[in-house]
Amino acid sequence: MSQSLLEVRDLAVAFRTYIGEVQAVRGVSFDLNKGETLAIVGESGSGKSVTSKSIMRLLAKNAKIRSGEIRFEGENLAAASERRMQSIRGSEISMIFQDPMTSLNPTMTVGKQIIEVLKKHRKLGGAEALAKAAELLGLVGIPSPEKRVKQYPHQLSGGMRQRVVIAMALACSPKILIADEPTTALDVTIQAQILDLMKRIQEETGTSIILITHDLGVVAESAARVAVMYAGIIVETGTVDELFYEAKHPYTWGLLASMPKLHEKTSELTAIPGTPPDLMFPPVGCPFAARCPHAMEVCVAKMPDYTAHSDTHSAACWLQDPRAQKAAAATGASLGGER
Amino acid sequence: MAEQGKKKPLVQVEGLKRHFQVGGGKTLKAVDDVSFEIYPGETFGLVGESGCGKSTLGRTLIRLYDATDGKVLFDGEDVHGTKSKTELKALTRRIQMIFQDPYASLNQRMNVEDIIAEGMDAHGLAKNRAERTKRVVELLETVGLNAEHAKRFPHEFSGGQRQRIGIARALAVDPDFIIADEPISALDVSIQAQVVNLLQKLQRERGLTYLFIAHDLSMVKHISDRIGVMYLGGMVELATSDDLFEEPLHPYTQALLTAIPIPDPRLERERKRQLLQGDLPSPIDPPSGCRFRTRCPFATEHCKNKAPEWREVRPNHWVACHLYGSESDRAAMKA
Amino acid sequence: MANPTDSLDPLFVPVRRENGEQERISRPALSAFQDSWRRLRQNKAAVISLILLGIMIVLAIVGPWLTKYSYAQTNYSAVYQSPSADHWFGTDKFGRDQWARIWQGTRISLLIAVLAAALDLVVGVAYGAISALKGGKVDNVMQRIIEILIGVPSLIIIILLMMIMKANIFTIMVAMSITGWVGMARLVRAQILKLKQQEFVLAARTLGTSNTQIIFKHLIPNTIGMIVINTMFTIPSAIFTEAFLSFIGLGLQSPQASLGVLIHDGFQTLSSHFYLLLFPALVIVVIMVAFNILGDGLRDALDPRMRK
Repeated sequence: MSQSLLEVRDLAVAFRTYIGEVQAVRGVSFDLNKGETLAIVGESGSGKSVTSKSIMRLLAKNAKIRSGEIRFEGENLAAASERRMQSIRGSEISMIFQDPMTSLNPTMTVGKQIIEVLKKHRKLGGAEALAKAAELLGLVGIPSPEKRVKQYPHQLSGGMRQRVVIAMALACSPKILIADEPTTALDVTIQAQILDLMKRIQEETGTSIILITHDLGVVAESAARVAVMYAGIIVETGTVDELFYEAKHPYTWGLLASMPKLHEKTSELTAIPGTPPDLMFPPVGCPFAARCPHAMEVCVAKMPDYTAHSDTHSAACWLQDPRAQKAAAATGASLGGER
Repeated sequence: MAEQGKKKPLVQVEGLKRHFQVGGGKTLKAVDDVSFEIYPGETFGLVGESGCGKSTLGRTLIRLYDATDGKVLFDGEDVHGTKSKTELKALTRRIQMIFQDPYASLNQRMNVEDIIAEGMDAHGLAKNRAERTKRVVELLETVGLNAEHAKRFPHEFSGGQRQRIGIARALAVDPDFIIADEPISALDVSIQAQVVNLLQKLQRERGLTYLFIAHDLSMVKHISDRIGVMYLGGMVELATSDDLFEEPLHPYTQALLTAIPIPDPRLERERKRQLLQGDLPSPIDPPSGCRFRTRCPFATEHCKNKAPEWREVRPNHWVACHLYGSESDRAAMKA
Repeated sequence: MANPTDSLDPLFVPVRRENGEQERISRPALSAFQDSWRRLRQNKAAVISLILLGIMIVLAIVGPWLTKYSYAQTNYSAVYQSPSADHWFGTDKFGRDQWARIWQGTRISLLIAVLAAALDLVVGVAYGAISALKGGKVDNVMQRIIEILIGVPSLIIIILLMMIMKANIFTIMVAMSITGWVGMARLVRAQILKLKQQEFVLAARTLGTSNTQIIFKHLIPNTIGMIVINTMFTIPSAIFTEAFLSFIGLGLQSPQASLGVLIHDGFQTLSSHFYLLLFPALVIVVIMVAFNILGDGLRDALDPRMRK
């Protein structure tokens, strides 16, 4: 098995707000292997973005890592100094954000912005850095890069801007690229271009990618492994095939079933009723219990442990407990997924 | 959909244009010469990328914007014609709108009861306070909420709940036709299905007609009977949803369909996609001739010189592309 | 094997659910106003400012009556007295009781400031709202007028006016308001223009709500927060302008008292009787700082963008 580059263990993050504390991430553990794409899927408020920002230590002021470790090549980033983080950000681990307009400085040419990164981490000289900037823009598929380096962000379209952001993130050949909803603000045809680009870059550079998204279609297209987050917890993790065809958690079933299928005719979508829990008052038991069609008393009372189904596949659900299967067999209820 | 040809359309859009004056004496042709019809009881889907004019089109249909040119007939009546206040009010009661942003579409300072009752108040539909409250509770229950929510304020609700409040508000005046302007694009996947199911249920129960505007093709396909595809202010293809997905004719529609990621890894690995090159041109200065030609893999000199006609190339399947144009156009394409 | 989870065994039964449970909201019901109030109360600096302002206002109302001396009553046998049990803040060069004068002065200063702010508010809100709602040519002309007014230095206008007119509370207020409303008018116009494009206003239009109803139900309630905040900053600046005018000798004349007049008088005897300057200066500083902190606190509390 390939070795893991990043190990996140029991990460918990909370936000202070004026009416109380929001437990945004409540004990998340996962590994990122060399050269793979791991997708973290979840809905808004599931804690997927907070998790990625914790790795970069880019959390807002009112947020705090309550516990847990983020081991990057053996070093715990959760306890690293701000200075150390500055040297890691952009060179070892890079991040791409959702909105390409706000992640670029509107008063600087795109070339200059890339050169800044190169100068800071690589100590490259002027002409050398400029040539490298143009090379990076070429790498991300921007036509006539020598001309584009002199342009300002507002002169570029949304798709072009996101390419520039990716070029900046790649400037120092990072070991990990965290892409937080990189295509959500883009149109489908542009999204297809950007996803294609990220795939190609991974093949060429061998960078590990953490892809944060809410779109299962994007996951199916781009990722090798998936972690499904719900209410600050990873409820299921597995390879894409395990997750799409052998899902074990009812939330994953619900997510898959609520997507319309382009190639099948369905009269009604299977919706998940209700709304996610308010993480200011996180439930004691399984957070999905209140919306789960298979919920049992035990789900409300206690958070389930992870059950492993293969080396790569595990889910936190009481349905995996032998006692639940026995109870279900007795009543003749079905515990299979909807798919 | 054969009988649709005989049915009288509920909404007829003829050569509709909506232009905006932007700085420097330039004109943004947000909607430029669009014609289509919507039949009673159907869902008409409108798709396109951002800036294609689909939202402007929706807002012009309901007279939030005045038309620059062209006509919108609702049940035979001209929406944009000069009217007395009461005539206009009677007409607009029958057309309602559901908005995209569940946060901006509800007034923060009003409670849910007042929000939902707004249309009832404007049209005097409730005789007294008690009847007003009763109607509001009925509407809340229709959209899956309950009486307990009536006195709460919008900021306490989740996005999906707010969107359902917006639906209840539109239903309060008992409309015939609802324009849903990207009603689910700001919502989470599991919540999107709730809202779409609710819209379909309401359509069955109340015989509503929808114009469903979205950029998410898979959802549009699921909910729509017929679909119109827009690109840079113009409509490029119009067909029943099955025809459009089984046999897209316009190169843009083809590219749009292959661009959607499918939530199925095996299918995803097998399929070949046709990636569109380049970006959307600016609608202020659109390309001459066919607007799509700058990104079209089949574009020729002819596309630059002449804008394609809007033709019904198969029964109920309209397209604006020289590849399916008149014989002379097709000949010019081969040349 | 001893299984610690044995006690869970009986719990493997389907959960019972009440209807509507899935849509329940766990947080208590709060109106936007209650919510803002709660946020304001959590802001310690703002609460302290609010309390200090309350004390200042109470003292401005009852302060002069707490001592047996009147603010204008001279006593040449007791000039320049230091603070004592008899004259709490001492006396000035005419033997007038400084305590009575300070609170009388605070009363006048606050009165001028509040009236000036109220005038700004009425004129500014009406002007800005009409400009935004009418739009088109009307808006264009009204905005050009505002630009001209902004171009003229306001302090010069005020000073010229004060030189022509007889100095009293009313003229000071008018002089300050002649250009003072411009800021409010611009803010209100910008806010209403923004609100007009918001989806909830579009929704109101599609629902057939009349324009008057849209103004009173949607536009005004969503502008009030901003108006209140702006007023909170107008009041201290009006107090300051009044003090400035009095300090350069264009404001109220003795025996009338305002904080500016008192500071002006106190400044002249700064080296020998510093307390004549110290107490009015302290009062003006407390009032200005408190209004500004409270204004900041209100901005945070009322801003719905920050609400989660």
